[in-house]
Amino acid sequence: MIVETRVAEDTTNVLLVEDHASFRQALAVVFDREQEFTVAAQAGSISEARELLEGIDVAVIDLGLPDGDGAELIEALASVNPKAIAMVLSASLEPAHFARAVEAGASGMLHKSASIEEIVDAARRLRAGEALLSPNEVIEMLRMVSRKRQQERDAQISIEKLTRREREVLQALAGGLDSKEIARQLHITVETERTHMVNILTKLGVHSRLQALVFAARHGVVEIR
Amino acid sequence: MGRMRVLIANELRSYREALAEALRHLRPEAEVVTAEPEGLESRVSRFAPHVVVCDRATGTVHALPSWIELYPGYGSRSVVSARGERREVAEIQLSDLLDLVDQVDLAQQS
Repeated sequence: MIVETRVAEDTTNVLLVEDHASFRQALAVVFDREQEFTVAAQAGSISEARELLEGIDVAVIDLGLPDGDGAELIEALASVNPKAIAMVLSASLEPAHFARAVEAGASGMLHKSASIEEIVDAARRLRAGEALLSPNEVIEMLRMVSRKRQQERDAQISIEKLTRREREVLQALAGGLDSKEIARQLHITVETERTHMVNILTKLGVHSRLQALVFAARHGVVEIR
Repeated sequence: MGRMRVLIANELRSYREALAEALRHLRPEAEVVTAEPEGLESRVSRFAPHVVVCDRATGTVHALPSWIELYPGYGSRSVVSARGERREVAEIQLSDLLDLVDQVDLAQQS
């Protein structure tokens, strides 16, 4: 749902991107009551917001949007309208989620447990050129993104080492089968199944069947039905 | 005939404060107060609201005729009870909250 765009000349034009419409609309009332702000546009998704980025001074963006991560929109905003400021307002408690937003270009971030006074004040400070994050915080977040990427690369390398048979063993494990049942299903002996499992644990760098299952599910090697 | 009383007790502070601020602005005749979810039960007893908005409706709230369970479990759906008639709303708008307040206000006056 896109609300009309009304960019003003003499005030800070705010874009609100939030899929909880009643909250977004209430927040729009709050911003509109402040003299220096005009809510120029509202959107409930990334695709809607992409059409509304021009002329925006401050974008308040939720990260968990129905069509993707708000960080995507922050990147799009930086590309279409480099002078615009992106401020994250999210219910996420996941530091990596915030770190990804900083990497995408977010200037500030607040949790939704903040008061509306803090939210409006943060937008005001960012617009005035103040930083909400210290350089150390930014560096730490960028390091976190880098570490996470490295972990994902390492996981991918581990997965690529698995043989077709080892993937079948993992899939059978995901189906809730025990050692004997896996052996029966794959027409192998229990000893062979155990050998496969030892190899899987070594390749994935984990210590138990359960850990292997969690790893495999997390990285899409198996489907849990 | 007293003022309409609305109690907002969503877990996320920004939600409850923004909704309260918007309601106070758009329906200045209503008395709007906020409470943290932990204080919901006692606030209902003391404030006797005509409408409650919260994200986890308790037994005390369910016993009231008019309330909104807004985004329970942080999902996209909400449950609206308008003078005892319940319905689920997929993407609730601020206007739905205002409608409920207006309906209850009208019923209270008649």
